[in-house]
Amino acid sequence: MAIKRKAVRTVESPSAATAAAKAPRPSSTSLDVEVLREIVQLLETSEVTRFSWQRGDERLLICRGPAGPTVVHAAPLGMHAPVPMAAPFAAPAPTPAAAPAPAAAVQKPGQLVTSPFVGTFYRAPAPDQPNFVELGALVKKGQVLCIVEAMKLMNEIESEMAGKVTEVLVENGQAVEFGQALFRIEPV
Amino acid sequence: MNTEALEQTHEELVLSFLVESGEDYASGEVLSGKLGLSRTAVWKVVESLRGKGYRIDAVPARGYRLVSVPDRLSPLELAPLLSTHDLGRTLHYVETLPSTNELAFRLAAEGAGHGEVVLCEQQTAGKGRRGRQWVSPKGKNLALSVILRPELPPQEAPELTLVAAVALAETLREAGGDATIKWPNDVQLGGRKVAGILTELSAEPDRVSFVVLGIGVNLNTRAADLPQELAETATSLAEARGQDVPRALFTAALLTRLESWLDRHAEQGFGPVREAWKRLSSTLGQDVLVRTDRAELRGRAVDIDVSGALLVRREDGTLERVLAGDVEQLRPRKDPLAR
Repeated sequence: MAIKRKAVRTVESPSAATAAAKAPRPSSTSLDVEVLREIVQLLETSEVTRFSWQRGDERLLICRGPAGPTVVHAAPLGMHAPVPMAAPFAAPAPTPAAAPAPAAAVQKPGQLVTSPFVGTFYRAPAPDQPNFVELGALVKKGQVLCIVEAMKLMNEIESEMAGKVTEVLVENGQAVEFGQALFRIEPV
Repeated sequence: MNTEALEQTHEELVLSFLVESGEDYASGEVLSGKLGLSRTAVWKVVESLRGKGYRIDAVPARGYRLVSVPDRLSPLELAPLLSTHDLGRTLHYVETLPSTNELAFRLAAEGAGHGEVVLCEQQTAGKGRRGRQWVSPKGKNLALSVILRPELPPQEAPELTLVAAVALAETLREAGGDATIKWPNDVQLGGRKVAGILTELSAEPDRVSFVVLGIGVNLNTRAADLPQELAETATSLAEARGQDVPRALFTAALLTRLESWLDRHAEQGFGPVREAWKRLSSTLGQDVLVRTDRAELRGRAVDIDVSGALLVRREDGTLERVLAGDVEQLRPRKDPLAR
């Protein structure tokens, strides 16, 4: 759910809105479809296989292979898994209610729990104690899932929703990046 | 306000007047005028303070003079000594607690404000890193937790633990100990641990909700009182300077320094903190062994980076960035400021 919301917020961000301003459409996505189509067409007639564009928090990455271009559009940078979108952009503007059928990465239900800072990930309160949660466990909202530590600053990360732990994405003791996904929690 | 609270306020006021007067006598008449109490009532407040361990001289026609304060950390002792704007303005004093961090975290979650301080005379379950215990006998040392609500994105919150280490090491130096910092924030005297800092964070995705800064300092524990397994690796300020430390004064000095470093960090960022940390560090330039839950790393500690992480160069020349772990310094470096 969170991912869909972010994707919508992304395409409505003000930096992209300037591009859309010259051709306003009712309830349009601000990431101008015409501009995108032009870029894609331009790339198709060129030798370019990889096109990356960034402005502020927004990033556009187009990779072309034999099967045609794929477009990844993500924001804010590095905070969430990139959201792949189908191209060309013929579908109407995505809204939370009628988002286009999302690709693999967003197809999984539930919420990703991410790391608040660069640090070390611990699944247990101490090396000789059991893990806070195991794969498949049911968790309550506010239940502690793990600890991330940097410089003896401890952050007990809690689940923001009740649900089931369907993925444990990092091994105990491993270094994690800011925004890296740690768990997936699915509503039951 | 109930009677007990009112009495305490009167005690605090009388004390702060006596502290202000210093070596001079504060006249009973002036005291009663300023407090709006009868001279008999002032005398009763003084008697009650004496009952709590304060030594107060009373000389007819001259007034009252504070001779000594009991070695306690209750608001009565601490509040008159504070010159901070936020830190310690609200004090939660409990004689015995499982852990000051635990209570502070709970208070903060219930809405306690920036700068509120929890302190106690004894922790029964003091917290260390990775589930370890912080052991300290009753009434000898300092255990406090400060609630902070900084305007910071969560990824910058770890910097606060180095801010605290710098403030703590400077306070110890001011009090007569040649303190150095072992990465990230253990404070040592002559290579033995005198203080530890354990910080806990509560954050939303884009901002820090609150930080609980837990500080434990061995002040007046003597080597003879330490359990044998700690005597080799731990020490106290009193042991180092050969004389007991007035704990309330030390606490007030620490909160003042901490506040001034927090202000500097808020205004100028991590740069000045990093410079001060490097000056006080005993880790940099050392061969170190870093132990984590998973692995060990050997190399030379060469620097800390712009976020406070330790940079360790392995023998093969590769540089490792350490964010968490126990650092053992294999060859103690001479303290440049000692001897």
